[in-house]
Amino acid sequence: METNDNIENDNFKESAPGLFSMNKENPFNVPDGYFDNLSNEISKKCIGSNIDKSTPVFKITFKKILIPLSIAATIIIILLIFFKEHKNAINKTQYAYNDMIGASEYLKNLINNNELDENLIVSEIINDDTTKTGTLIQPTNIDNSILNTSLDFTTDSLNKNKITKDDIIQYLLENDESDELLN
Amino acid sequence: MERYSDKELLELFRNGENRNYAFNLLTNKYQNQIYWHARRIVIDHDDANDVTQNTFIKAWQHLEKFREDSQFYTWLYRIATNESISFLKQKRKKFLIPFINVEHQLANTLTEDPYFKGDAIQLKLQKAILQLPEKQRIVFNMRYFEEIKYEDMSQILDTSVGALKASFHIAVKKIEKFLIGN
Repeated sequence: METNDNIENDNFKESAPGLFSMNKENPFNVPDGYFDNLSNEISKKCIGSNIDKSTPVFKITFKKILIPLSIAATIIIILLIFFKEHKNAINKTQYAYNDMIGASEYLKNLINNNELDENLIVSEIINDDTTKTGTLIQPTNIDNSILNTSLDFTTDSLNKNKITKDDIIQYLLENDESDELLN
Repeated sequence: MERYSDKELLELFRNGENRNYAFNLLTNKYQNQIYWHARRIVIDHDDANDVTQNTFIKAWQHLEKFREDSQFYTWLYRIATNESISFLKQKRKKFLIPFINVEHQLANTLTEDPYFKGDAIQLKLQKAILQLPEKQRIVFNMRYFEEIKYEDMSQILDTSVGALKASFHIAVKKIEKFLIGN
C-alpha cells in the first residue's frame, strides 16, 4: 500500500498537529509464533467445513432497504390521496355544471314539445295580493322568441337579466290573449 | 516461495486439483493484514484470532462464487470488517452491554492487556479512537494505520469516497480534541 503524502496529509498536519506528530508504531503484539501456525489452523478448519452455496457472503440487511421502501410507500400513498381528492373535486364541479346545463336543456325540450306540465311552473309574482295564490303560465303563452333564447341559469346571468314583476306583467299584456291570467 | 498474483491464485483455486494449495497461498499472503485489521477493531488478541479465522473460512466457502467485480483483497477485507462488526454486536448482546460500554470496556482492558506494549501516549491514542462511533473508528484505522486508499476503502465499506473523507476528517478532529483535553 502506498504512503499517502498528498494534500490530505497537509490538511492533517494543520488540523491535527498532535496526532500528525505521533508515533505510528503498532502498540499491539501477538503470542510468539502465532502467525507461523495460523495458516495451518485455518486450512484444517476450511477443509473440514462445508461449502455453503446457498447463503450469500454479504447479507442485505433489512435496515438498508427499509428506509427507501418507507419513502417510496409514503410517496405512493400521498399521490393516491392527492389524485383521489383532485378527481372528486373535478367530479363535483362537473356534476354541478352538468346539472345546470341539464336543467336548462330539459326545460327547453319540455317547452319545445309542449310537454311542460302546468303544475311545474307557477308564478306568484303577477299580483302581490295574497288572495290570488298563483297564476299558471301556459306553455302556449310563451313567445317563440323566448324559446330561441339560450336558457342560462348561471348566477351571473340571472342577476344580469333579472326579470321583475313589471316585466312579466308587461309581457303578458303584450302577448297574452286571455284575460283570465291577469284577473 | 514463488509469488503469485491474486488473479493467478484464483485461477489455481478454480482448478480443482490445486484448490487447497492455492487457498493456503492466499491465506499466507493476507493473514497478517486481515488479523491486524480485525485486531484494531476488536482490540483483544483472542477475539481477533477468532475473527481472522472466521474470515478465511467464509472466504473459502464462497470463493467459488467470487465474480471478481472487485479486487480479491477488498473482498476479503470486506468480509473481515463485517465479521469484526458482527463479533462486537454479539458481544454486546451476550453481556447485555449497550453500544458505548463495549468500547469503554475495551479501553479499560488495554492497560491490563498482556498483548498491548504501547506507551502512555499510544494508550491515550487508542482510548481516543475507541470513543469514536464504530464506522468512524474503522475508517480512521484503515486510513491512519493501514493507509488504505479511499477508492479501495469505498469498495470495502460500500461508502462513497466523499463520505469516507468527511468521516476521517471528523475522526481526526475528535481525536485531536480528546488528546488535548486528556
